[in-house]
Order: sequence, then C-alpha cells, then structure tokens
Amino acid sequence: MTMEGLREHRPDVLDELLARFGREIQTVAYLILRDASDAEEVLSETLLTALERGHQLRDETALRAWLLRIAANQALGMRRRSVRLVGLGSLPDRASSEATDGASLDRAVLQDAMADLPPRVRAAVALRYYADFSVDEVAEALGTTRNTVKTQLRIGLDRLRDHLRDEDLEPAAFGMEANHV
Amino acid sequence: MSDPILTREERWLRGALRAEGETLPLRVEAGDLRRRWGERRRGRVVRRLELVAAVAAVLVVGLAWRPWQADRLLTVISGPINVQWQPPTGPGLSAGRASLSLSEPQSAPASFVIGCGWSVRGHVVGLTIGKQDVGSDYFFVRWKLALGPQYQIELVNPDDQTSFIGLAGNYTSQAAADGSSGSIVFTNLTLNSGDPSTASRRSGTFTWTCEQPATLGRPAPSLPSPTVDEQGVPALWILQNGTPVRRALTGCPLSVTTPERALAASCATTNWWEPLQSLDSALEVAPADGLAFALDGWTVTSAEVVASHSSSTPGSFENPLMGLKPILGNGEVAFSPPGPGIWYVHFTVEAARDDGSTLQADYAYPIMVP
Repeated sequence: MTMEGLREHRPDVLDELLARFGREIQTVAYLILRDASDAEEVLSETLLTALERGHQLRDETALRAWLLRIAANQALGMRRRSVRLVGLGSLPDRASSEATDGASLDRAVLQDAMADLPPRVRAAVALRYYADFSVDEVAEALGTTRNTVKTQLRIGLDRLRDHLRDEDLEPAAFGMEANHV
Repeated sequence: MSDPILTREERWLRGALRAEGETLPLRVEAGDLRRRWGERRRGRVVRRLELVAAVAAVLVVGLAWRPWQADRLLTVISGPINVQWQPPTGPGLSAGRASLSLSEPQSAPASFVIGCGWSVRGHVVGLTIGKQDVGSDYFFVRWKLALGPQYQIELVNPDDQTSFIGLAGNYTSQAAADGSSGSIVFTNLTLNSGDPSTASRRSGTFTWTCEQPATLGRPAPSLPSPTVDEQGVPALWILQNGTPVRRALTGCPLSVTTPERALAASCATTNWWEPLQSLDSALEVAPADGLAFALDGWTVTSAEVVASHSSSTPGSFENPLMGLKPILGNGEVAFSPPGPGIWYVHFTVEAARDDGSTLQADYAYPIMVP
C-alpha cells in the first residue's frame, strides 16, 4: 500500500508516512540539529523527498532506514548551510538545565553533551543509539567507514562521561563505567 | 528493543535519547505536507525555466570574462532588478560587493533569480552566497511572493534548497567562525502584510548584498619539502616544539579541490592504524613537549585528533580512542600529547586557502611517549 503510493507519487501516502515514521524522523533530526522547528522542517522535507523519489525504493522493509537516512542527511545539510552559508544566529531551543528531578537531570546532561558534539558525531549517535542502526548501517547512511563511525561513537560516549564529571555526577549513577582514558 | 551487544552506558544513552524524542510534540500535519507537495509540483516547471535562464546567463558572463578583467565583479541577474556594484579592493579575496535593488514587482507570483560571481587570481569563482565554490555548485537567490504576511527568500541550487522567511525586518548574517564563509546582508527589507493578491506588493526597497569572504587567516609556516605527496595531496607535518619533525601518512577518505584540479579518494576496507603498525619507528616526544601540525600554505578550519594505544586492538571499544583536544591556530594547530606508551594518532582535517581551494583529509602517525 505504502510502496504503491510512493511509486505513484500519491499525496495521500504522506498521511501514512507521517503516522508511522513522523516521530522517529523528527527525533533523529532534532538530535542532530538541537532545534525543534528545524527538526520539523527536516521532517516535512524528508517526507516530501520520499514522495518525490519513492519510486526508487523496491523493498518495503528498507523503508524506515531509507527515511531516517534521508532525514539524517537533510539535517546535516541544513546545519552545514546554516553555519557556513548564512548563520542566522538562532540558538538551539534547549530545556533549562536547572531541573533537578532524575529524568530532567538525565535530559539536561544529555542535552549538554549532545550540544557539545560535532554534527556528524551527533548523527552517528542518533542513528546508532536512537534508531538502532548497526554500525555498518550508520556508516552507509552517512557515507563513511565503519571505523569512522566507531570513532565518532566513542567520542560521543567520552564527551558524555566528561559532562557527567563536569556536573559533579557520578558516572555509575547513570549506569556508566568510569573507564575514561 | 533489547540489544545484547550494547554496553550498560550505551543502553542508558539509548533510553535517554528515546525519552528526549518523546518530549517533542509532533506538530507537522499531513494537510500541510499535501499542500506543499502541490506547490512544489507547480513550481518545479517554473524553477527549471528560471535556472536554465540563469545558468545560461552565468555562462555568457563566464565566457565573456578575460584575464584583464581579473578582480572585477561579475554579476548575473534576471528579472526586474537594478544593479550597482563595487569591485573588490585589496589583495586576494578582499571584500567586494554587489548591491541589487529590486524594482516593484508587477504581478504575483513574481520571482527573480540573482547570481554573483567574482574573478579572482585568474579564475572565475562562483560565489555561493558566502561560500565560494569552483564549478557547477552555484547558488541562486530567489525572491518571491508567498501567501500571508511574508515574503520568502530562497537560496537555491539545482539539487538542494533552503528557505528564509522575511518578516518586516532586516537580515544581517555573519560569516561562520571558521572564516570559510562570507556574509549575506539583507537591508531595508520592508515587506507588506496581507493577501498579496490585493495588498500593495511592497514598500520601500529591497537590497541584498553578496560579499566575498575575507582572507581565511594565518597560513601555515613554511615547511620542509615535499609539501605534497606522490598523489599531490598536501602533506601534514607534525611539529615538535615548533620544529617540523615528521610527515604523517595520508589516509582516507580525502577530497582536495583547487582551481586547477580536483582529487578525491574513498577508503578501502583496511583499518587506518594498519599502515602505522608496519612502520619501524615512532616519533618520540616528552610529556611536556609542544605538539602541533600544519599543512604548507593551508589554513586549517577544523580538526579532530584522536589517539589509540598500540597495546591492544586499536579503535575497538575495548581500547577506546582518546581525543587529543586540538587547539585551532589556523596555520599551526596545537594538540595535547598523549600519555605514556606508543600511540597511533589520527588526524581528521578540513582546510582551505584564499583562492577557494578546499581540503578534507585524514592523516595518521605513531607517537611514543616514555
């Protein structure tokens, strides 16, 4: 049904794509861009791109990975353009770090750590740990090697540990081992 | 989903990322997407015609350019736009600008394609609204009427596009910190509100400025020959206390683009540290030594430096890479020495030159700390 709609460029397939994959696409974009309205724009562009190029996809089981791959690259492209071409000076819309309950603290630490990562590392972390891509799938999605992805993931985890220390939090409290080199 | 391969910390991270995603409201609506899809299909034919016209105009100007016109600004427009320009002043890519004021559009929908180009050091360089590229990567600015109290300004190239919405104000956009970008300035942008089919199309004037990037910054010091390797890839020299001591091995992927040539290579399946294992020596450094790297004639715009201890499988999760905290100094990039032992050090470098050349390449070299 979805594949048929994509092949025929039928606009009604957008409803189904949005319902099935909208939240995941938006979250991957947000984790890379750290800006909710930019993430919404990536979600829209991803689904419109999918409708435009959907005839190229043959296997429905690959649909989710294909969409998330488009989203990650759209987000990286948007970020590159906004920084290198026309930095409009918008700030990421982050939650306040003053929250003190457990879940909010997790979130604040995570946000600080993610904001500190280079965008390509954020993309690797989002696809690997949020979208459950394998390392090889992340490498393919981002057009790089598995070793580069491993390096990026390691950098991501290291920075997260650094942030826990900066916040005077015990890494073990977050289930993290203090094996930073 | 439970993944037994993930460590405890990775599972925590996954849970935290998913919780983060749950906090975001899903505000995009399918109806809006269908409307945008319809607009996109209708606009496609118009856009293609405009781009064909603009590319043709660029070609006309490019073909008309002659060496004696070096350092003169080339401007390409279509649509009812008045042009004033001033040439670049000073050496290299010093600032030049084109101010283009838009006359009153006569009817909706109206759109205009504008391109700017500079001739620099004997090469025609297409300026991409703050980012210059040689060749086909040429951006255009399109101004068009849109529904609602907005006008829409788009930066467009044939394969990609992004949009900015102007809301009754001026835009001032600053160059990126890495110096590789110029700036775009929208001034006196006065926009009407209301239905564009009945409201006056605009008031005041609309002027935008294409500005060339300033020089990138301090170039690298003069380094020993060879400054390029056998393939023509710029050599990365490791400096110890200010003295160039070793040339790092070139890795992959790499991409070098200069006005004269373009070189790109993707990676084979081998691991980056394997060529280092076969070297019979490592650069010996003391913990207090000052370490840096440089590429002759290039300005480094970003760098990641990581080290992997040689005692076990490099790069594996069991033997994690250590970030060496590069300090960008443009010409010379300092990085912190690793701890005791033999380390495989990996450099991921992006660099540029004032003539518009760009480089993205990986390098590696072993370092020993007693």
